[in-house]
Amino acid sequence: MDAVIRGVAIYFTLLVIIRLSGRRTLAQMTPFDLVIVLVISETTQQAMLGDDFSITNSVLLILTLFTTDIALSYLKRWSRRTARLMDGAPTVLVTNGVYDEAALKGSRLQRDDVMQAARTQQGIASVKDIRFAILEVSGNISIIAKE
Amino acid sequence: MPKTSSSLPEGIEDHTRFQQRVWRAQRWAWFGFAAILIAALFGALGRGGLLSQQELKLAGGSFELPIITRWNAPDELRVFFSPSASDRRLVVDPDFLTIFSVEGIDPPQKAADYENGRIGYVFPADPGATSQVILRLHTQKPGLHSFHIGIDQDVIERSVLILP
Repeated sequence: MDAVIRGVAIYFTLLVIIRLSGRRTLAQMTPFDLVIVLVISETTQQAMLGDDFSITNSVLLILTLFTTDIALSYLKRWSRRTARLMDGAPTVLVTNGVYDEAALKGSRLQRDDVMQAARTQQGIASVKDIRFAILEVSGNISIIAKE
Repeated sequence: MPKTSSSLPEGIEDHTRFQQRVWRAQRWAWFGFAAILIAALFGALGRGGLLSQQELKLAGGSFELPIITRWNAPDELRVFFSPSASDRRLVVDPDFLTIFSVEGIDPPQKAADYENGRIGYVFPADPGATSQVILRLHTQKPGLHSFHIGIDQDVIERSVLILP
């Protein structure tokens, strides 16, 4: 029984902490961020397994995590509001060559992050050539160039 | 900045107010994170720190016992017996053993017995100095639990909060 409770508790704890820490934490991954992710995975693994290293416990945990994920995906499908609350909404960072400073600050991003995405995706050298820069729910920055 | 729904790419809506609420919530949450960490440093989440331990004085000695600890985690109970010419008896009730498993006792007890439904660990006398005994514990179940503990006939009730 406790494997299911542990799995669900850790799933939602991580969901809330990651959501509240801001999207940038996982999207713009630096080497240090990678270290954090590795440490988190190691820590949560121990918290989920406890002192039971049996295959039954592992299978139960895997099933718990997948089932919770599937249930939440249905919940998000049924309720757009829940989806927005859990995953966030795309954030427009640049509109017609003008930065939205409030959006950048809120998302803990810098102009350099936008221009890096612009150069990588579209070969754009100036923000004036960007029609839209959008921080997606996935954490990537999408660039739409001016025509 | 000008940002109307009609000017945005397909699938993108203007959620500015929602975003602002989320960013505000995130900032408050960061203060919450810091508060939790500070509380942990003070021992409010168990395993070391001022708030996690309690000192308890009895006629025959004193205890340092956990009052906040964590589930499935090791902890310690320190017993300080006052100098005495006769053997000293550390007494716990069966509830104590359902809350904690005693992984080890240093130094080991001379004998263990039952009296009035309580378990007694008998330690040799030391008339010259205070003697210390450490019980290495492992917490068994989360929640707020009460148990009885004492030295010889002086037994009192105490509670421990075991965080999940």
